[in-house]
Amino acid sequence: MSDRATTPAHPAENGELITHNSQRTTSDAVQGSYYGLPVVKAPHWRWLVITYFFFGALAGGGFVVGTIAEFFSHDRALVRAARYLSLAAILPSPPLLILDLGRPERFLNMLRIVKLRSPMSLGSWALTGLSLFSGIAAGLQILSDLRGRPTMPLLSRIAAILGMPFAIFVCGYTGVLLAITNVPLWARSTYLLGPTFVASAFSSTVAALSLILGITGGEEKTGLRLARAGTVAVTAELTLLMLGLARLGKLGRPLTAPPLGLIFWPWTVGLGMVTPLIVLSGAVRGKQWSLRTRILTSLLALSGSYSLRMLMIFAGRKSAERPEDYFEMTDR
Amino acid sequence: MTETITLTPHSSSPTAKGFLTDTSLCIGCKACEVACKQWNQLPLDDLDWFGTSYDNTRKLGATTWRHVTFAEVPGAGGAGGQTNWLMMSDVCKHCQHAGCLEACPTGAIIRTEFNTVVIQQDVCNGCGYCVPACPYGVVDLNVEGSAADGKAHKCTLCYDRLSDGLEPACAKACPTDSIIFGDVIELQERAERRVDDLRDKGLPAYLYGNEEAGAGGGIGNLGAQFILLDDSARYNLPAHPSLPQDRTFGAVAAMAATALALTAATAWAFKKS
Repeated sequence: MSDRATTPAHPAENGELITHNSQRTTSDAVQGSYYGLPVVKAPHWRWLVITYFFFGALAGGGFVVGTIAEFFSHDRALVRAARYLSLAAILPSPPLLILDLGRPERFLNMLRIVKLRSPMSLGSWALTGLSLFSGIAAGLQILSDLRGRPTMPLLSRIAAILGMPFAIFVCGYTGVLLAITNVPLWARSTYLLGPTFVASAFSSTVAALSLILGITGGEEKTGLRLARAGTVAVTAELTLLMLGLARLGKLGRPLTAPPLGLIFWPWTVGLGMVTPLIVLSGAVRGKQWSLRTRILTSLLALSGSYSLRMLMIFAGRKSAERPEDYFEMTDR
Repeated sequence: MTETITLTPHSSSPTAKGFLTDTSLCIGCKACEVACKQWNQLPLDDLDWFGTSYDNTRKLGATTWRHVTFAEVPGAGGAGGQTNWLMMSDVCKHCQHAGCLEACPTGAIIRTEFNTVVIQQDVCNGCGYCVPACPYGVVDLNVEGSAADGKAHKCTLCYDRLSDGLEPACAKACPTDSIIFGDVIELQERAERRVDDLRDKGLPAYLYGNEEAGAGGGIGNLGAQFILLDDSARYNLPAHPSLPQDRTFGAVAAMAATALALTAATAWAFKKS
């Protein structure tokens, strides 16, 4: 390759001294690893995928909560907000995923095959299905709002039910996607990562709806409904996350120890989960909460949801770089 | 596009081709690395000295499909005593049940008529999911440098040479026959004889790439097996890796169960007023 001609034949000629990896010595080999070099590789995913994980949760969560509200609350404002949230969150999702591909022009290759054991394949199909049903549900909602009366309510209800499996899958498959790899941090808590992401999707969706309906001046009863749902979701999220960390033990350190732990504990757990839980459960018990508190709590919960996905990806990269963690996982 | 997904186990398939890499014969000449790069027209990796080892290649990657490891293990006698060299030419294992193949959402990664695992370059869209799915860290995306094409790459077991009845370039170039190419069934028999031989000579040799060591765990047997002389971690190989996709069903079920429970709880929260 012609570009290699510019590479100096020997780094020392450039005046560079060999300091690379100098903390890794032959004694690492003695201790049973190979110069501390990584065994497995992490995926290349960064901000595009992290942001998609966040929007996907809202797209799936918005649809699920909209369907629940449709059949159990008859709260039209809540149904409307959930439908719009789902559509608004699904619109940026495919572009984010396509831009992350090494060959974006080949994104349709995802849909040339169905592989039941590949979360990436299942997720691509689930997102496609959810786009269809969320589009129908939100489209009918737009028509209803424009005409001032319900448009094709039966079709809307059918779409709300048929879209549920896809929506539920989009809510949580991102956790499964990470779990079905060889990255110790993700793989070791296989059966808890998907559930954690699902609970996080519920909590961030409820927070987003509380934010939207708070700003647009929804009913007080709606606020209470969301506070109740939020309390349940955040409790589940926090519990599942802690169970996952307990399962991980030492392998959880890339997430819980500095440097990422310095973001994880105060932000993701403290501000993103514990604080909303305290405020929400207070509201459920009948404590008055100002609009300002409600908006701030919602924003905190949303940022917690984003930071959970962000840190899980970045900590996974660190985890993959630790051969000792992978050896521990594969030692049996 | 013809996809041949053969589910026949390596060990019983008469058409399965593979490698046996006998590390007791490896002299660390890196002829395999060079032959691989030349035949497959792979560009030179960034030249960067490791500093504490002769292993400046360091890892398998998108443009490195053979990688010779150099582990130095102080032997008896302590400091100043004899140092044992553990050299091994690492390569894609062409697993019987391959994590990369199962993860691939486009069907770009296929099982060939030789029972090898190959990435179809005209199908791969560079999603990168095969990369963490490999239990041995073999597959990599080519996303850096001027040769970057955004696609996943790894050893093809010289699919083009095999199609023409030639052996892979690395095996052809290996001057000590540390790398042997052949039918997997024959290679396994040969490996067993060689392991017995080495043990008779007092070496702690064993075969890496079956249920006992290196594979199993849903992966089955490896198409590329190794005769090792020390703990597999010394060669940066996992002792008992597993196939991630064996957990997909359980993980999806746990996720769906949680979602259903939360749906019920949310319905309750909305209804109660």
